[in-house]
Amino acid sequence: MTVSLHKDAGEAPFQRVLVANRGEIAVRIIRACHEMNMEAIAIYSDADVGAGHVRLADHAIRIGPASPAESYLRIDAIVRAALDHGAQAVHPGYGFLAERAAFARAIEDAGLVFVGPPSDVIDALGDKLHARRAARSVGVAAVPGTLEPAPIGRPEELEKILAEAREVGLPLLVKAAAGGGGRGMRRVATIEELSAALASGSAEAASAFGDGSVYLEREIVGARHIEVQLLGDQFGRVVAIGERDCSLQRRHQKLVEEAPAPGLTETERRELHGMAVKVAEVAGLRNAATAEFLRAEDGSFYFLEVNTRLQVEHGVTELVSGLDIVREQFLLAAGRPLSGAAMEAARRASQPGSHAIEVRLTAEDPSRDFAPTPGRITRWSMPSGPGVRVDTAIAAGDRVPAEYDNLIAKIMVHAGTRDAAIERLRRALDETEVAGVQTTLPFHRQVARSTTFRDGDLSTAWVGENWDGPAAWAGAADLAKLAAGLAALDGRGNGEPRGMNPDASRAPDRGSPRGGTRPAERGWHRAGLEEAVDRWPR
Amino acid sequence: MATVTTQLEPDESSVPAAEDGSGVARPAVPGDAALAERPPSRSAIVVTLAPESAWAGEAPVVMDRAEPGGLAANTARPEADPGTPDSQDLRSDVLVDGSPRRLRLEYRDTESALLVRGARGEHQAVRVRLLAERPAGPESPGSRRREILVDGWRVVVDVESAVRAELRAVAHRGRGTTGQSGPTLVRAMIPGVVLRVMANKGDTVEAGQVLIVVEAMKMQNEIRAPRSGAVDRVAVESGSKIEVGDLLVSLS
Repeated sequence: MTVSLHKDAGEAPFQRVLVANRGEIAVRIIRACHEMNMEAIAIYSDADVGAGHVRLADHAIRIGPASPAESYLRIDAIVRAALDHGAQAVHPGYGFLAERAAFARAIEDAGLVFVGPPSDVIDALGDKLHARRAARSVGVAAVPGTLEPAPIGRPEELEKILAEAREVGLPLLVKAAAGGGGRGMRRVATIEELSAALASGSAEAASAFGDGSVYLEREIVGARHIEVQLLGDQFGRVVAIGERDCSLQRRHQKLVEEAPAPGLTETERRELHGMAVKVAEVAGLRNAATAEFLRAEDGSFYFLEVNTRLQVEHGVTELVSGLDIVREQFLLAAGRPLSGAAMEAARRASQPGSHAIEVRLTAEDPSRDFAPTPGRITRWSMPSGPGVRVDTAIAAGDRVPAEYDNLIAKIMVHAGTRDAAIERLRRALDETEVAGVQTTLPFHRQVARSTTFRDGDLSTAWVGENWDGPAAWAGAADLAKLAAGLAALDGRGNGEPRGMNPDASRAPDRGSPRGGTRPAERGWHRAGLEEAVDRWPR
Repeated sequence: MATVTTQLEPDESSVPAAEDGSGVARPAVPGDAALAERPPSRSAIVVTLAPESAWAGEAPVVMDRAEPGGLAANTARPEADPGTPDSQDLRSDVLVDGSPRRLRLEYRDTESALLVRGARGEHQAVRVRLLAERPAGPESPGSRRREILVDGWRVVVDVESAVRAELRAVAHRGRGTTGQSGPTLVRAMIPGVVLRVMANKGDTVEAGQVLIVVEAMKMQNEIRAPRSGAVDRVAVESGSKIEVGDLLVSLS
């Protein structure tokens, strides 16, 4: 063994790790590998040749065509790649195979280490129906609903489903037992919609997860979505590292997350963390997972589900707790007991001393109901400075493929108080600029300026109540048209002469886009800079 | 589940071809109404949302420089700004759809600027980034297209001379008024894969009825009928890979 000056070097739990994911989470995991002196192997599909995670990794292996089913979801190919290239451990990230017990089992069977809960725990907790039953067994209240899969495809059982739905109460949600990220989920407002919702939800679940089981759950209107970060070791010890509020969602996908959840008392935090630990303990949780809860308007918590993986929003907990969760995952996967740092973070979890907020910048058009906007990013300017963390795999010139999740960056801010964090978020988002594809940036800027958000008046209905995308777009489009017109009148196109006469407009581009300085207007320029409010009026 | 706003446009065959002969219908005749009242000056320009922009087809804007002593100077001259030479002050006035407005761009570098609105002292400014222009493409030759970033939005606009837009408007009117009663084409607003086709040729559909389910970025997106009518063509089938702008369904 070589001698190293790094005290930690000898502690690297693995020498080489395969990262079975793409995008920002693969980059996040590769960074942890490098900090722990481990080599990282990336896998990529044909749509990701030269992608960010491939650029950063020590080795990269092509795994198949663009379609996820032929690449990032191919268990056999990924296990073979790990074995062929000498990886000792596989980190699944989130999404794709992260919560497939079959994947964890295949890795375990190959003699490798799966960086996440063991396959039997994924089976027990990843199936939401199992988890709901587990919660009930330890006296933790789950959201009212069914505990067995709806018998779809058996017409003679239809009456039974309808009776169950009436008992659960409307509006209700059809949810995928194997689900996550809102896929397979359908809202049912009237009993007539139920059978169509069951069929389409089940079909989407089958396509996304390979399991079409769905169940019914009451929709708790006006609820906040709060989740608890958990870590567990192989000695049966489970701790909570703090909670996150993820109430700002649309289509059941999270848009904004923060830690800690605003407005909770220390007692409420202890109660919530205790419920999460209880459910995780009875399921034998190891490694990292997140227990999700709804907080009804009367303050009561309902257990929702456990995600047996690293969450997208783990970063806000890292910022507040000071703990590197991915690093802890590797140490726990190698069989170490919960670290001193993890225990210390758990001890302080109910008395958080700072605040972090994350916004998910996605390739979606917030003026058109957040429809996906894949394409090539031509300009990419991310914020930096005090208290700002950006997790992304994107660089200018990269394509956002249509085949995968549309998250392109997580912009996180950290400050002493929630108010300071919101000011920091506003500042950071003002620095952010993306061209080539429409992103959710306008939505996030409005969140950062919103008084209801600042007041902590959060619920899963917030987006519907506070965001008018078409109106926001119309205002911006008017300004853009005026700016384009002024630029043309000023002769500030591509160095074209003043006025857009037909002949001039056919002139070829000239080298410099600068239309020439106008010394006579410098006075105006300076005055404008001094007096202008360099942002939208609030 | 997303309900994707479909892009509406009249069928090519029911609208006179644009003067360029490309046969591609434009979402609106730029400046038609505004131009009809007053012939444009040589310097006037028309700005339209480009077809690739979200919500394309909204009203275009006609802009012109207000000359010193002209309309803007007489009707909308704000209080004189002490210490500012008049000539420069006047140059910041423009005509927008014929009405004088206090508007100017203050450039910070080759492409970023402040758009300053209103009289000095009461003005509002917003940062805009004007990315390099490029030709608008075969559907509108002569127009210049550019992407503009405003408060997180990207807005793609086409800019052309009002004189040219007027010529086109005249040509357009001259070719009769085959109305907008022809088929409605439902086109893809997102790329993806067709998961299910839920309408067949000959079906009568209601406005809002699901026509096609498209899977893109792991989400299922319902493409709904923008109006009631009969399906006279289904251009895709289950499993078809679609790109933005591809024809999906034609309704008559």
